Amino acid sequence: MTTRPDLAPAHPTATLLPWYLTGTLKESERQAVDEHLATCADCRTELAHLARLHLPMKTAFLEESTPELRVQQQVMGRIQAEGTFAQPAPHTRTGEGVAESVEQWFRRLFAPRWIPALAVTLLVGQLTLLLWTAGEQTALPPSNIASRGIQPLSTRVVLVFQESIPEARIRATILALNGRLVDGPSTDGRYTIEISSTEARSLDQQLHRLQQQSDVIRRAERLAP
Amino acid sequence: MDATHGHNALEGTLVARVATGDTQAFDTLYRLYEKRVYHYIRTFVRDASLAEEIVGEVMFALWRGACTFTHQSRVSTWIFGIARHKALDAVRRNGKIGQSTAPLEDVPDLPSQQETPIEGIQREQLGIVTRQALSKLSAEHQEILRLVFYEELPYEEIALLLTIPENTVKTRVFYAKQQLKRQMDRMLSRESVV
Repeated sequence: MTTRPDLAPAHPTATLLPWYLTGTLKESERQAVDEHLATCADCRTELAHLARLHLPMKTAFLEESTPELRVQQQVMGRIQAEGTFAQPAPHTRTGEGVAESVEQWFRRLFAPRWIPALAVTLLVGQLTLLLWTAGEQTALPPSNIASRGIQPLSTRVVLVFQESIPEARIRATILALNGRLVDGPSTDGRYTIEISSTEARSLDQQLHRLQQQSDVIRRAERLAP
Repeated sequence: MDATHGHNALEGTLVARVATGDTQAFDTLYRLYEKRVYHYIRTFVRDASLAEEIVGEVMFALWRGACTFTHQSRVSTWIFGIARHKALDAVRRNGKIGQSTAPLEDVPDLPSQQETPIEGIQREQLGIVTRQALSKLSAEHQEILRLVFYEELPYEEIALLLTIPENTVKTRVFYAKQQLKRQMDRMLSRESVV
């Protein structure tokens, strides 16, 4: 593109006027244009000219014809015929595959109204189990072997995702850990995942890899037992 | 912003739902973008039926690729990016079937005028003249003016969409406005002569 001095913008600020008019400048730029307009009659004239053309231009683009309805019908038909799905598989009313069952199970887990009920159920269940095992232990005969504590059968981790991450990506990440979602998302976006002991050996490596993906994960760490 | 435009937050939610296979969300997104995408494609492709075909390709690509959208740009930037890619592909496959793509240097200059005829005409006539003048511009200029004044995209998003530097966006818009003004002045001058 050659530069033609007679047509070059008089001020760099003049090149921002279109976006000043449409209200899409960053605040610092908008203020800079405001300050410039206060002292530059040429740019005020240019802005007024732009403002006069803005609505006719929008109207010119708006009044153009519309594609025929058959285009949308063809797209929807193609989607249904191919049974394609972005990821994971689409929900269908008739017949659900294994992938769709898992999808539906995860969707129910992520539905906020189920989380409090699940949390309460887990708490009550664990409390009952604790009381029962405590009662069982007092009934056992004395032993010469002192228990050094029961090793945990599973490990729990907490994941906090970046806000822009879609559900599909979150599900894929949890699945990749071979974990089970036991809580979350909480109000601060925490997901608590339970990993079995067989998977826990490679867990540190997996957590380290997740922590490297700062565009996806804000926090990935083990929960203290 | 015009009623046909969606807000970016709402559109982001729609895309996320489309990624899970929500056909209702896809239908909403389709209706929000069908006409806009169609006319954006018509900037490059003159043939209406081919443009419709490309719209279908774009919307299908949107359906299949919704899970790949990272929300690092506006939804509109992403969708128009797909549309631009497919339209230019069609132009390459079918030869030059679009509007004129004359480089800026080839557009003849008009003698500068102290006072423009534009200022003195009525609103209705201004709308007609604007529409006619826009149709005379090159594809690049029509595209950039559409993205700025109709789609109301920030210049950063336009730079992302067109994969050009932000300063190039600003100067391109400046020259597009100049050319639009010249076309309008020329039309109004001809009318006054007649």
